[in-house]
Amino acid sequence: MGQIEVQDLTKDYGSRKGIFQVNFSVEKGEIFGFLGPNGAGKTTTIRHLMGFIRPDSGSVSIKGMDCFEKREEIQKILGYLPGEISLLDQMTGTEYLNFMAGMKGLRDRSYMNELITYFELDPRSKILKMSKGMKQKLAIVCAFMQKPEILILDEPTSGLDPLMQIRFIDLLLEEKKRGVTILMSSHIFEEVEKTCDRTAIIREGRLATIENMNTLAEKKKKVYTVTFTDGQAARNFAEAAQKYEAKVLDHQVQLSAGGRPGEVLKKIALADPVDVDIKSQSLEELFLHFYDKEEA
Amino acid sequence: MMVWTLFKRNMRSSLKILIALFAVISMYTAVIVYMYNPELSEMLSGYQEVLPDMMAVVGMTGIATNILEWIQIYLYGFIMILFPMIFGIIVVNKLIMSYIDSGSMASLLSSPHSRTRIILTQAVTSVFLMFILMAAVTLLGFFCSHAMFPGELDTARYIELNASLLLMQFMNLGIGFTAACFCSESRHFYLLGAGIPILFFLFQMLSNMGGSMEKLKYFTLYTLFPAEKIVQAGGDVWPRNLIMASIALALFAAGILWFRRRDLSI
Repeated sequence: MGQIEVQDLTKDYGSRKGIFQVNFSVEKGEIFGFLGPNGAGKTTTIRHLMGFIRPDSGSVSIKGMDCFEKREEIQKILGYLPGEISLLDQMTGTEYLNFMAGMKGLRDRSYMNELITYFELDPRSKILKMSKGMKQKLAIVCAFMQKPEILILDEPTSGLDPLMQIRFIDLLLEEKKRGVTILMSSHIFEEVEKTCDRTAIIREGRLATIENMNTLAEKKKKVYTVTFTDGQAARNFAEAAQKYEAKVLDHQVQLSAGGRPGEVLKKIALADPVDVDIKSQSLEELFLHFYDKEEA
Repeated sequence: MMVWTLFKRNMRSSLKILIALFAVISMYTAVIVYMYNPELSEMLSGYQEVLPDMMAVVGMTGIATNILEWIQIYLYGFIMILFPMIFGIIVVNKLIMSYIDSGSMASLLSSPHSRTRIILTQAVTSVFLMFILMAAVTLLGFFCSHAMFPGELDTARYIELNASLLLMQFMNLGIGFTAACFCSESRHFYLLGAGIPILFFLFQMLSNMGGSMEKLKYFTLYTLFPAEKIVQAGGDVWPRNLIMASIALALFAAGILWFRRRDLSI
């Protein structure tokens, strides 16, 4: 049984909005990615996990406890970073962190201070006057400060500059070493690729796929861009290489193929092109078709 | 059953508005007490003859023969209903609705406390704040009367009057509280939580004019406030107090029960 279990979770908001029959489970010590376009249902799923809303049908549980009924028990071991950061605007950052530490019954605040230093956060100003990035850092400190067993992070790096995004990824990997279970929604393929063990893709409220990130690397195709002297040669070559999804662009041909490159290269060599360029497909390209409504 | 960190935070964030409302009500109280004299009372009853509707609308009817009646006529028909009501709406908005509307309720709920404890803390804070405001105003009225007109105020009845008014304001608070627990957006909250008390207030003013309008008094909870009965010692006010307390309690209970089970899109 996983640390986080989502079974047949359905919440129908009408006019095809909501989430439908979502199933997944997150194992202990795993970083589980949650990818999908805006409005796909990532946040709705996370709200169920936090016990903010109740499922229409299906169930959500954390460590065997129902997320709605046992919310306060679950919160003892959970750190949460909301997607839409809305903190208490009238407080200063310091007041907010102390308030939240008080709410969580946290006595030892040394880790909180470590995190503040780590993210180079100056929490003394009023939250109302803070930039998006500062608020994000504040929310990150708040989610991590009690060293929770389980972390639920809704788009954790939005608003962070590249340097801080890298620091955040390092922090995630450190937490993983401690055995923390992490569920993280994201828009950024790179951070998912670097951190997640498995990734679920959600679109229009339905889970499209769950990919294991290690086996995914094998599925990645390579894109060969073959350049010829003229358009006729390109078209001839494309016809000969139809099975590699050949696309003609003027006097260039693009092929994409998985598996070993030898066979493709042989074929290319026979056609005697002017130039060849080979690129690995990125995770983004691999997943992008899930984002495209037309292709479904 | 309370979250003390949250309670302290509530008190600190509501202090300014408490002081502001206390200052406004204090000013009115001091001025009205200062203006008390039986001769003026005669003059004002002259106004009542000339402008009967005007004066009746704001509850200023009858002739004051002592300072308690004076206070009741000129403070407790209008000022003391309206201003604590406004205070209650502001407090409920601050302690509950703004957290839900802005989504910062997520901060409160990402802590190991049940929803019941959190919403109960907010309920207790709002009740406590209303109590402090009314107690402070009562004390102020008491001291003003004794400073300016020593020995004239019937203290026991004055306290009874304020205790009944406090219960009535708890009903108002209960309406706002329940509205906040049900609503997801501020505008809906204002429509119910502020709209209903204001509607009651308008009904009360119109029914004061008498005639066919008088029937409106059956559509406002403020009719339960036994101000005249207390001042004229015309009977037992405990049944009415009990009804007001029960309504307030029922409203708070309904709000808490709903909040425990509701969906919060935060």
